[in-house]
Amino acid sequence: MAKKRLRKVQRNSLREEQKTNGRRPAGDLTDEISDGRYAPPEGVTAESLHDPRLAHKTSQSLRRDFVADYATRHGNKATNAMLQGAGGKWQVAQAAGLPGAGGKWQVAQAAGLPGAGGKWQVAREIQNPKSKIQNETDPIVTASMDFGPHVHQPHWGLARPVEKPNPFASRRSAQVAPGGATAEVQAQDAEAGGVKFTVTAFTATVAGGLNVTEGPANVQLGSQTYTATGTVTAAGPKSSVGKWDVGFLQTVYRSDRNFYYNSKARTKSSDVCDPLPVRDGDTLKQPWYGLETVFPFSAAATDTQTSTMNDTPSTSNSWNDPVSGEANTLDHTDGMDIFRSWLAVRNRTDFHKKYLRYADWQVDYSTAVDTTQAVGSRVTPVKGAGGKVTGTGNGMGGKQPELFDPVANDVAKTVNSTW
Amino acid sequence: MSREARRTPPQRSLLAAIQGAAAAFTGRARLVEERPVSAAETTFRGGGFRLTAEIAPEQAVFGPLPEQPVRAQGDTTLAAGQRTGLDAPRFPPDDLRQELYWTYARPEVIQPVLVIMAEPAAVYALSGPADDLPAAVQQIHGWTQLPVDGRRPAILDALPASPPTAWLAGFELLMATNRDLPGLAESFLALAGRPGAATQGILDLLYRAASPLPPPELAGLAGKLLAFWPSESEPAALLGYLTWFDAHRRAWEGDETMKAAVRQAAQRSASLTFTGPYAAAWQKRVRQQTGYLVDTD
Repeated sequence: MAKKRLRKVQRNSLREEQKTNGRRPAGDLTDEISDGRYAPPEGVTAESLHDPRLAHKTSQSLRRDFVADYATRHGNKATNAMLQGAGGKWQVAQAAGLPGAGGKWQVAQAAGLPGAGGKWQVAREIQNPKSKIQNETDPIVTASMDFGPHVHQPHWGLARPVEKPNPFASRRSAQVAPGGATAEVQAQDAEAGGVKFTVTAFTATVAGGLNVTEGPANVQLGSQTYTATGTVTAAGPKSSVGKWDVGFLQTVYRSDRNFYYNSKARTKSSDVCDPLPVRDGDTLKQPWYGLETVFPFSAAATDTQTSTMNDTPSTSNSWNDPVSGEANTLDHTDGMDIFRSWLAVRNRTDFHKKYLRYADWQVDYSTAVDTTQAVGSRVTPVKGAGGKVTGTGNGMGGKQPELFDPVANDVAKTVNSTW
Repeated sequence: MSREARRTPPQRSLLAAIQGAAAAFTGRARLVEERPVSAAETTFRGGGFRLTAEIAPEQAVFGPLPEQPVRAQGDTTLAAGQRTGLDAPRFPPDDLRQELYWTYARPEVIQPVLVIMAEPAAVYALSGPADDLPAAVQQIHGWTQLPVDGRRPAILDALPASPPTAWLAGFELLMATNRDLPGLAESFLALAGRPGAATQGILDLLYRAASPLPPPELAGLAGKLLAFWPSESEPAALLGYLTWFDAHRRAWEGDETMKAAVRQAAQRSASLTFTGPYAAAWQKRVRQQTGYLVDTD
């Protein structure tokens, strides 16, 4: 009975997905592989990514994550099998050594474990007779069928449901509604590999206003420092707890800072990131914002770690028209950065991640400029300019983080136009 | 120079540069090379210019004085025509010396500099022989050489006659080994002769450090700061208080007494007038920042 219900859910999910996401999105990972921007593991080709199971993913980085994760686990042999058509599922199941994988694989799919990591975790657990998922009618699996109105459940196990990243965890997780700068809960937030994670404190804050520095030749506009902090307790078997790190990730969703010149050329000079969204943080430290935010849990039955991140975005341009050179013609500025930062835990062994909290924040760069005034009195931020935390919440929160390089500063460019 | 940091991190502090260096000296710098660099090559957002300077050593500040000229490299967003001397107008003034030589480096200009031989080297433009930065660096380096338990009395004794850079570095040094932030803040804020920029720098460090504090400790820190804010009259310091209390509202908004005290201190800040260079600009800035914290209508 349970099996039939699971199949029905899968069919419905697949239909919905084909309706909305069946086409391969433009500029996806296939293009990146074709033109050499992304080097996939050996055995993965641009063609093999045409499979709709990958095409339905809107995030290139998630697809990269999947490919990298898959290759790590299974080498080259099964790669194409995994990526080619529905039949590939069974080949994958066989490659994973699953005895009579049929129904159990569907169980794994329906359980909706996030990402390839979770999928293979299930596969291993199915092999293990002591596993809690060894029985298709296990009550934990049955419970996972309560997808709820916000959960989109793709037919393939690499899906990462956004509101309830792990159905096993969602049964116990506490929800904090977005809208405030501070979220503090003490309920269990996630569970993975037998380790339970509880966020005991999470805050995200930034003072209002813009930091304006007026120099002889140019002006710099910056946010006050955004700071986010999370305290997480991990509890479980010592050896498992010690495999996890806690830290912050951040993605930029919008970044344009515009300088308007009232010169004859009417120049608009924009400091933008392209493409967006883009990972924010240090190059080569993916997926983290920076290694200073990353703390390992001790190999103990219970350990608590606190992670903090800071960010102080800024931009600058000249008083003079940067194209024509016409002196002291800066008229006004506007534009906005929009970020989301996540507090997350990650297993160092299998790279499995759990997103525990997120904070949305933004910086408004709107000012009025009067270059007839002396340096120091030229720039007036408009009301509401500066940094603001617009919401906080649990889990991934409906947006997917960009996990891979490039980072925002590497894709920043100046675009000159007119207004 | 490391090219890995890609997210415009805060400028490495003077203390961090000193702690990572075996020597520091003054000398004269001249630009020997300048080339445009792409966004992927700079340590900050977007592209800029990579400058190479040759520095002739003149006097040791600490450690050995190099026998030969040394070369240092740094990046700036400013094109050559946008780089001006230290004496050009700038608001707010860079009293904490957060701008490096590369902001001021002009072709054909021999510039007095201080070089801290860390990796990468930190090069600061000097205004001339009367610039207090070399003496401050020497003093800060001396503090770093003291045993940890001997630092606090030495620093607190020396501070009243020290420039803002030394105040900030002294606080940063003690903060690294002191978990009692409210107590440490109190010991600095109670000292006479504290420049406004020093207070602002200290409050900026406390702004970041306060974020992970549990509510009781955060409220304790807010209480200490609130004890000193009403007697402050330096505009830079007032901006530091206004910004700190705006960021850490959870420390005081739930307490009606504190809330009233914050409001009163903020409104007093906005009512002050200042004298000296940039007096009008300071006043405008303080009033703007007050508006973010409390309703000033």
